[in-house]
Amino acid sequence: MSDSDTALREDFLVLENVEQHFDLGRALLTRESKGVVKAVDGISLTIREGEILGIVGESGCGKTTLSRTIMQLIRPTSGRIFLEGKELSALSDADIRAERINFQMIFQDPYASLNPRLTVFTTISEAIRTRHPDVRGEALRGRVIELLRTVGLNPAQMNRYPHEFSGGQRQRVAIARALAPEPKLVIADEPVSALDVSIQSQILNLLKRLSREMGLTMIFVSHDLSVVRYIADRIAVMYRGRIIELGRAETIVDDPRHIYTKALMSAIPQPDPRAERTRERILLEDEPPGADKSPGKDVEDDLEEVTPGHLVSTRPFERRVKEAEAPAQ
Amino acid sequence: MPLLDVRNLTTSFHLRSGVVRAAQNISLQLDRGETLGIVGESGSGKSVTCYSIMRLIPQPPGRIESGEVLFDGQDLLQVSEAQMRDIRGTKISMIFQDPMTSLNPYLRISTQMIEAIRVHEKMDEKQALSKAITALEEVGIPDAASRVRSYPHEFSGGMRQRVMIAIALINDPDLLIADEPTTALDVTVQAQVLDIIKERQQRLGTAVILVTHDLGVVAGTCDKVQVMYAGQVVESGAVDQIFYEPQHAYTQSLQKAIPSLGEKNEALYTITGTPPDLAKPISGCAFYPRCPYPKIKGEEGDPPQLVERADGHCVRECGHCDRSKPIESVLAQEVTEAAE
Amino acid sequence: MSRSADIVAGAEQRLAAAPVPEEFEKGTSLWEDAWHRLQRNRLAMISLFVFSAIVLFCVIGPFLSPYDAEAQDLLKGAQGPSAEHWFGTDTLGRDLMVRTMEGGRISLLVGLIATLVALAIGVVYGATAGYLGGKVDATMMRIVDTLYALPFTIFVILLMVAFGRSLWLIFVAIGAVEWLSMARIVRAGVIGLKKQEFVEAAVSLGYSHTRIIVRHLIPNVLGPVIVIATLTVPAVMLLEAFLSFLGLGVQPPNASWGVLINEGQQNMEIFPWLLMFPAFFFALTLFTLNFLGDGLRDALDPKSAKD
Repeated sequence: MSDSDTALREDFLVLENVEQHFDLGRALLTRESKGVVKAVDGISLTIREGEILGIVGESGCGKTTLSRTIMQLIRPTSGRIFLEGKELSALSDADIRAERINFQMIFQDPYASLNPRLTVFTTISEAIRTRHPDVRGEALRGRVIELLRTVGLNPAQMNRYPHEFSGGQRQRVAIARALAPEPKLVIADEPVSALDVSIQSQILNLLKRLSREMGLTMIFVSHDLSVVRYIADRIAVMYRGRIIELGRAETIVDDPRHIYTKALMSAIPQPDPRAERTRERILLEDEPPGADKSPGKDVEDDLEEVTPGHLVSTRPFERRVKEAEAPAQ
Repeated sequence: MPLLDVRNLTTSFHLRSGVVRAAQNISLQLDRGETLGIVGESGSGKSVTCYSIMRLIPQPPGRIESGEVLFDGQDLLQVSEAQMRDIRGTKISMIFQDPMTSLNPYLRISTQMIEAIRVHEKMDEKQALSKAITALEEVGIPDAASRVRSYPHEFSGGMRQRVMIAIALINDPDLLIADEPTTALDVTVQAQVLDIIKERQQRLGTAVILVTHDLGVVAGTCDKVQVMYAGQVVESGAVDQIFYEPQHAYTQSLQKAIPSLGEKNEALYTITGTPPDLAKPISGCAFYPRCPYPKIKGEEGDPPQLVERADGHCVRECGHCDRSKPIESVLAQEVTEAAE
Repeated sequence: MSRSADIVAGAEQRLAAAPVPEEFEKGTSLWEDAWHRLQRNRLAMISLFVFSAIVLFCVIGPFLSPYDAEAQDLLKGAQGPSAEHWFGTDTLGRDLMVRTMEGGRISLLVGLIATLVALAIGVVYGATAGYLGGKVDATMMRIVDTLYALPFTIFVILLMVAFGRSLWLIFVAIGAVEWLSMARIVRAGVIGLKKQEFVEAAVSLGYSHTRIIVRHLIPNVLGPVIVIATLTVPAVMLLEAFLSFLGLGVQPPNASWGVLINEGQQNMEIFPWLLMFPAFFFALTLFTLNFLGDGLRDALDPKSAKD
């Protein structure tokens, strides 16, 4: 941490009770409502400038929907989102488009996230010109070269097409594209889960270095707690559209309070055979079926601060512990 | 005699652009009740090895060039296709990575399970159905008797993978090959699925080959491990040997490169570069360009041989790098460089 | 995917210090890749060659021939092929070779222009509907459905009655029908692409709708569209032949292959060459275009790109 910390905004990104509900429509004959899926169900968060917030959760917990909602790719059903004090959720579609250069996204699949018909140069220069429409010619080329170097790619290959790169290199191109408009906030949605282990560490190091060097604020979404633990300053654990635990990365990993976080942690296999043989596991009962579609009671902000900065949900948790058992040997 | 004894298995793909040597000289032994983990990155040849054992390599362009696959003393590469079909599903079964696509979406679970049973065993519909229900109960599907009539899309991913396991195990095979069976699943579901496999193995003495890229899964599940890189086995041995006394530079780097819950460093160790192109002949050590040890000789030379270092612990080791210093000090230097 | 030229990634620090590269490698686009694959398809390449030869024959041929397509010489009516008239003459003594060339011009022109019209309208319309989705999409596609439901022949007859017979009207009439299926194909393709992350990335960069449609969506659906277009050309030529057969198409003294075949079949027992020559060229064109379309489908299909 450097001395410039004091100048950083505490309320860089603020979410106020953000909800994202998907209406399942009505039954064909009876016209009865099939229910509403509450993919994001009342999330309030404040993110400091320059911080990396990790969002962890299992599939269907709403982490991807939340990241797309912050990105304004889907507008929230209710709630407010502020970036540097400006309310994004109140902007019109046209105004959002102009605002987009300030927040960028890195996607999961590097094979799908680049337009296969455009060269790397075109892809990145297009993105640069969203902020600097007048840059062209040599200046534009120089900027592309600089960006490619920043992400560790050989600029001599900038006239190549995405299919001529490996998965890890494509992810680097995607990162360069996200950085091109000089955003203040980057949301990375499972950016390494499609990559091999050896490539994964390259990309993680790169993202961490970029965030430190450029003072980027980053939201890092992943199902993999070990990865998030490595990269994030704070971790939010999501379950069924809500945050159930939030705190500093070390705190969440070393001192989880919510039973779901504990169960999640206990399920992660460690690359250590001896530890694995004695690992205690916390098994939860299966989710009650269809619970995600039933209308729940709206409790605003049910997070309680257990120690400074460590918040845990006080909502009653519907899944009980089955049994704590040592793994079968 | 081991249950499965693979000797010098070599599989290539003959493509327009050249010959891809996907698996070279693979040897492995597996006893009843044992679990062998095959670890490697995509393109390392771990899946090709399994598909070759099952003789499921698409031919052409694939071709099993040489080697023997002795299963219970019988060379599977020599038996007729009809015999092989009979072996698949009864003696050797396979489960695949994606539970979403490996079940037929248009058929009920019951139909698919009854089919799997009746292909190999004379049994009437009713008996087969009750066997299917029992199999589903064994993999922990609640209310199996009523849910057996469901279609695959009515099940969650974890449930579908359990159904796949139930189908794979329904004829009590001697060998189960699981190709990344939990990669598409959440960790909590992954733990349950691995438990089911372990439980069956203990009860019936099934041998298991588990293909995965996740070292954590290997550590918790396997007795023996083979580490593959660029179509070759670079190291093999008991799980403790591989994790606590890794000898090959690739195994060592791989373990350093994964983020773990226990410790937090400013920078992860990075294996630079990308795996080699298997369409080009590799001279010398395949890992040479990415090896973190200081180089003392050029890349050229004879390909290193797999040498048994300790009891059952084999390493493919070259003499091209200076390995006098322990890997930790070599990597520590790299990490500080990368962190700058 | 070529791993071969992969650089040693990860050496970020070393790269950052490297000087500006002197030379930039040239990438190979998917179009170039497809072209290379097409070149390896012998049947498609032969078809391409034969089709080009037919086009040249029809376009340049009339200038080289000593005969005029409309010049009648009743004394030489309906003669078989000879050194003088290679394809023979028709009942009015017109040189059949020149008439086949002229007919080919019109047939090919109808085929190509109507297809281009269909392509232009269909791609833009389909891409817009697919990209915007929702109510816009629903409305646009119901219009397509309605137009589909109109009986084509009646539509053409109505057009002819209202505006009189003309070649342009045929282009319009055929193009107006063919774009409907084109639009449906493009729309389906765009809806599939829209979920791809690179389109979301384009949205999150704040690109305009037009830019996303034109640069990011259309080039990626063009592959299957080109295949369909290649197969539409012969379909359109057949349609024109059918209209001419009904007397609604090209009018004498102009002739298309359809008109020539119609004339030829009336006298086919006595003067078989009148049917044989135009029918041969017509059939050959249809064959080559179909083979070419199949070849393009294989070349552009990303699944076959894997090996």
